[in-house]
Amino acid sequence: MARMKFLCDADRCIECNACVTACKNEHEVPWGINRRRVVTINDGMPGERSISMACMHCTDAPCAAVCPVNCFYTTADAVVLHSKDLCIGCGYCFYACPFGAPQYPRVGNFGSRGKMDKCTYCAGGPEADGTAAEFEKYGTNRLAAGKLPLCAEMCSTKSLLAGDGEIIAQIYKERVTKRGYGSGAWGWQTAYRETIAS
Amino acid sequence: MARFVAQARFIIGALALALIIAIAAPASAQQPSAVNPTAASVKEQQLLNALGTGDAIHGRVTIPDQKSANLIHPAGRDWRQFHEVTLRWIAAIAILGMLVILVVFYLVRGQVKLESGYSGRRIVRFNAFERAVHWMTATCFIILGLTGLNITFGKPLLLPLIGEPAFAGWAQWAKYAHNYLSFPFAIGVFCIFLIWIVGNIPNRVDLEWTKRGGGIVGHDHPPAYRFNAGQKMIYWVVVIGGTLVAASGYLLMFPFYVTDIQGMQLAQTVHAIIAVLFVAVMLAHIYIGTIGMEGAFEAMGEGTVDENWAREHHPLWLEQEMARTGPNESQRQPMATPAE
Amino acid sequence: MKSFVLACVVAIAIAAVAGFALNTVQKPADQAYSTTGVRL
Repeated sequence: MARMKFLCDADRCIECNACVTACKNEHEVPWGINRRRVVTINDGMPGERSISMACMHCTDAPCAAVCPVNCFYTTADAVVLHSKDLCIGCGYCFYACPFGAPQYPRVGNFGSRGKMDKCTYCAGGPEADGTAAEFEKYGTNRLAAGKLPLCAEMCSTKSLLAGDGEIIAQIYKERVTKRGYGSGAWGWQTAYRETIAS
Repeated sequence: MARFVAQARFIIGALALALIIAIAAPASAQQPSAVNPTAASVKEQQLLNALGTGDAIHGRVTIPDQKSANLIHPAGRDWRQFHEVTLRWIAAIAILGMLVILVVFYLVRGQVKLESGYSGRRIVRFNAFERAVHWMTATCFIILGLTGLNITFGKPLLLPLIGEPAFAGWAQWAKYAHNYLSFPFAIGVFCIFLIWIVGNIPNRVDLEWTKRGGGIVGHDHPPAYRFNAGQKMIYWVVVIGGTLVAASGYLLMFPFYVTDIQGMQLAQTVHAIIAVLFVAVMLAHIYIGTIGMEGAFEAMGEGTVDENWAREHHPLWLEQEMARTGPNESQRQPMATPAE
Repeated sequence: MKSFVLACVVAIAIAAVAGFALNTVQKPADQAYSTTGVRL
């Protein structure tokens, strides 16, 4: 089976935020919740690099490990999803996540921070695929329809790649070889414990 | 005239073209010499290598929530290890260990008996306000302790028994109880600090009491004032531990108001460790106040103790109380039947 | 017994007041992270 991953080619990303906009629009993500964001390193200096970051759907996800109610699950495609019905809004997944992916509707933690929301790899949630109930809570389920995440599809420079890990690693490796440089597959060491030799 | 204009236009056009080429040529000749932005670009590996423990790869975002500007924060990995593994071991050893010690102690030493028996005369030990404050703090502590332990042990121990939806419902209410009962608990700890600070300053008598085994190791009866050294220890554990657990807990309830993610991880670590040790110590306190010592529970249960009990365990306090109220003291309340 | 019951009542009362007070202060993310540039 495919093991789904994200790869953002920092040398191609132009910080256009098309990925962010696509995600927000497709899943009707409320204001204040940032499933995907673009971070710029060394802004304004030579060698500035921008990276699009969202949930990386880690192998051995730390968010799932620390959740006190076990609301996370990993699908057959290795996508890490969670159930908003079980979530108690304790905030622990954010403390464990290396990428700051979990987002909460409330700022204070008295009682609950609200139901955690994060990038779903456009794969919805535990509700039945494609139903209104699933859309309301988690957004569109593109994966069930055989499509890839919209952020990667909308990327204007094809810097954000999504799909089977082997395939996108191969694409990235070829790019790096052809152009002669690459700043690395950002986040892969932390998320998947692997690097792409370039 | 028209031909002249056409020729002039042609010449100007050609000159313009030549000018553009002239400007362009030196510009392309500059490229090999100056900045090579690709070489100067950051690579993930170099940034990861440069990270100290707890640091993050930090950039710039246009989102108002500035936490998003942290790109990768590997320290969460250590916190996860602590919370899932280390903390569970500490808690299990402390709490189960204390239970084992108490059971063994009870079997070996037995209950600390009132050797001279009940006299029937009572003396007030804790007034109504003191008892109310104690019970408010104690009840909150029990609920806070159980709901707090649920966060650490609920998933491995309780969840397999009742299933995910039921457990999540229970955990949701447990969190509400935990967060809101923290207020009466914190107020109670503060009141306890104020009302009993006078009797809980350590002194020489405590040293002697401890050296003589406190009456609990062996069958000695070392004298004590209102609170003996063991009780003073409990007092300070409650005040200091309670303050730390409340402070770290409120940091957790107001995440990122005061501190960054490293601070939050630290707050959770402190909160958890202090809390589980607190629970272990309180088990001993509950033991000695209930089954561990004959005649002890009444002190907090209804406020008075038997005079013989006071004479055996807190004679210096009894002396002070007698001196205060005089020989015809109104505090003495004869009881029809001796307390059980 | 009386002091115990009173203690429980006071505890619940304080918890309820605290809960009520905190919930009025609680900010949803869309308010907390809005700026002058954002028009909802």
